[in-house]
Amino acid sequence: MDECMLRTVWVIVLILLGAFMAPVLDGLRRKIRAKVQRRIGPPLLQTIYDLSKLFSLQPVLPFKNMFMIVTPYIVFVSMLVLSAAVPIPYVPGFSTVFDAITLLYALLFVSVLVVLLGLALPNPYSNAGSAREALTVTVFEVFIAFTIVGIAYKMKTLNLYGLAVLYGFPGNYLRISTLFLSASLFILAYIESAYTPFDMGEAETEVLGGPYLEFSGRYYGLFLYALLLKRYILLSLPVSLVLVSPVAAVLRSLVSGPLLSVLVLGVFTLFLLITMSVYSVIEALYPRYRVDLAFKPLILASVIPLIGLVMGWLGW
Amino acid sequence: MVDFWRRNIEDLGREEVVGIIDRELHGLYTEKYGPTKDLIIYLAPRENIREIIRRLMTFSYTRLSVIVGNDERYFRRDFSLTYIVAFDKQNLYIGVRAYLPEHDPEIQSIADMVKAAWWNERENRDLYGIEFVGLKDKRKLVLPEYWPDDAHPWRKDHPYNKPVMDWREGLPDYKPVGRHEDLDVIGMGPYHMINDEPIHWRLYVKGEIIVDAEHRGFHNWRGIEKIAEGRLTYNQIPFIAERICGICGFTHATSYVQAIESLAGIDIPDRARYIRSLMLEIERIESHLLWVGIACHILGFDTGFMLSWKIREHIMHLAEILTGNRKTYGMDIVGGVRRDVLGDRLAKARDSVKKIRYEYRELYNMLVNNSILVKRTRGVGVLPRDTAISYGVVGPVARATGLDIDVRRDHPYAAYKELSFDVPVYSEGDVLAITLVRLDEVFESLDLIEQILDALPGGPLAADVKGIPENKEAVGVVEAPRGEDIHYVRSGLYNKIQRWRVRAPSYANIPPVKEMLIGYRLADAPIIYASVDPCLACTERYLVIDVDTGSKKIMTDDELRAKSRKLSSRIG
Repeated sequence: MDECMLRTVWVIVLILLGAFMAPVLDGLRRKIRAKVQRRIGPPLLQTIYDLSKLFSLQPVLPFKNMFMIVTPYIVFVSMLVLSAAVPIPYVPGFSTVFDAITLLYALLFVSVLVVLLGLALPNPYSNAGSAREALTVTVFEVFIAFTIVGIAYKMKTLNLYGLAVLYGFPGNYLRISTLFLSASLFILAYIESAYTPFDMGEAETEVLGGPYLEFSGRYYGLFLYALLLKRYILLSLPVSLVLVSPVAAVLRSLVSGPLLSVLVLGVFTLFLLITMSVYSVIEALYPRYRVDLAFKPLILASVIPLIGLVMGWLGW
Repeated sequence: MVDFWRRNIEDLGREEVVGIIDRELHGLYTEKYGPTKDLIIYLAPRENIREIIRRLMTFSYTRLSVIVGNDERYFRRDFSLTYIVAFDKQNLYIGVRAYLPEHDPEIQSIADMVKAAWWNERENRDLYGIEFVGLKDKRKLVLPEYWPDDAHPWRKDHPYNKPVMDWREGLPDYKPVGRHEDLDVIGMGPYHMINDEPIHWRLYVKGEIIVDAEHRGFHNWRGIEKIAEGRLTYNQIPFIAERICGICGFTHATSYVQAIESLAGIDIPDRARYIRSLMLEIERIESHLLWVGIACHILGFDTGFMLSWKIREHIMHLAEILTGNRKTYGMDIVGGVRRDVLGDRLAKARDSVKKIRYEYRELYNMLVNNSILVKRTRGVGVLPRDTAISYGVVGPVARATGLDIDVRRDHPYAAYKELSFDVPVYSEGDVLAITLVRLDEVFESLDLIEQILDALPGGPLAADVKGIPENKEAVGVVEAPRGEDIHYVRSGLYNKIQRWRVRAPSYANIPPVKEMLIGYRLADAPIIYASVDPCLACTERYLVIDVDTGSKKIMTDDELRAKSRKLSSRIG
């Protein structure tokens, strides 16, 4: 099998993995939250059932607007493609050709598209939700920038595949600066995924879902699926770099070839589920922030990657 | 304008205060009488009413509780308006009554002076056609916009089945009072995530900041009092009163029966008094936990929501153990209670209270130590003390603004005089303070239940009541979970009721929400509105009908269609 063919296979495998894991991770999140709340909760595959039901429902659009019809598809397909670019060591999908900035800004582009759509709709709740989303994205930009620059400086590369492989090498991993950068990655995935208390944009009890309010049926299903894929991709960043990469570095000395990739993928999936469980417990413990209240922790959090960056520069 | 609570009479006894009021109102009233020991009525010419209310409201711990309209044309060719002012530190209600001639039912408005009159005046305008001179907001309150201006459903000569609406005319809009053309308008409700019952808020916003707000409710107003007045006898009404609300139904039933017992001079047995208090405290805990859950849900804290409602299940089970029903206990009758609390259930009840206290303590600690929850509620929706007095707010909302009022202590009823409890009072007036009052009250209620279970006396369950005297009046008050629930009752002929007015606490607590919203963010609007624990079923007095579940029958499509056709032909 030539390299091109192999990469195509891995791309397909990664897309299928993303398409399956995104709703399953949400199912796990709902299950864990239910456990914290001392109730049984829905089955693990409930989100898949929800999506299949949404796709079977006829959408009702309040306005005849091409932008409204096309955007859900663009957003969904973008996310599906990006899910093949998740940086997993020794699993060469699109990560070999994508760099960290492209991935994060592709994710941001999708958020911006949703915000613009929400602002364009003649619905005050959508407008308010989108305005909040835009504010949060803007304030969080500093954090993202520090994290990317910090990691790139430390690993001397921006290529996603390269980052995934290099991050776990003992020379890079066992440093104080990496500790701060790793923490930044976990925080980035949590906040950018808009888990509570950072779910101000959609806040159902305040702005009724914000930008997604006017969508129903399969259009809403596409948005929901895209949102879940986005969360999966974001979660895969800290999981892959911080947790899987050092394990892969050890495994590399034991096995090689496709078996190594399959084993790494298994470890990746396992760590995804564990990290999601921890996120879900954190999410269950807090109420939602108000936008103005969220500014302070968002800005203060930027200190963490900054420290990582400075320490990396000092060679710690 | 009124200088609210300028004169401190807090430490004075009832007789002393009545003497002061007599002197204060000298020359302004024509007659005075006391239908019951805690209600004194002053009859006054209509032109003096405004001055009388102004003077009464300068005494400390007074509030305009309700304005009761009545059609007395069968007795004296007049309408009457009774302004009931509560004197909370003297266990006293002062009624100031003006008669308005049939041909000229007009009186000076006091809504500009005492905000508590705002809804009351609009309601009496709708239902009796009484004109309030100077009332700025003349929109309909309880009736729909398309209801004709000359049809007043609570006049005794208004037949219940008279068709009054001409649908061909089209439906007029609900016109906003303010003009805010430069601002964005956000409609919240009648169907909205946070609305358990239909209510419409029109929020005028600049960015996310609320500049003005308007309310429209009463979508479900059914005129329950008129049903009771014309068609039920005095001892059937407790059951319909209990169905006014799905949460504090027992409060309404108790308030009503207390009014009847008061006007008929009935002393109820001790065991009945204690059982009433027991059920009222169970209802309070149930209501407060329900509110805590909803508030957490609004703030995106679903763990608090789930845990609160889990504890609430224990209290619902406790109610079931004691009465056979989770809600709508059907216990109250005039003269006492219908069913006993069985001895073997008391031990279970004690265990249940211990369990609830343990779990609730955990929940309480989790909520008050949650920094985001505290940040979201501290300094939000502040209700200033003077505004609270003017609107006559009651219950936890009043106690959160520093007003130390609680009907259980100030106008004792049932067994509360013999029980010991604290009244939590905070002074900040924000959502956090309101929340803390409710959270603290649950502990007090658990203590009260334990006290009642320990001290439950023996003896009969109900006094022997043969009938009620004609043409007597009284008020019955109960501290509902949301505050003072007052029922004014006037008896009629043949053991029926001539006038029944229900003023639920939310009727006093929803109007000031408008003021609480202004200046805060759109994100705060749901929790500010929810903080008063609005109960629209009580406010609008709509009827919750229990479906007969004796036998289940699944109807076929044809049967449904036939039923629908039959109904259509009847309407047509």
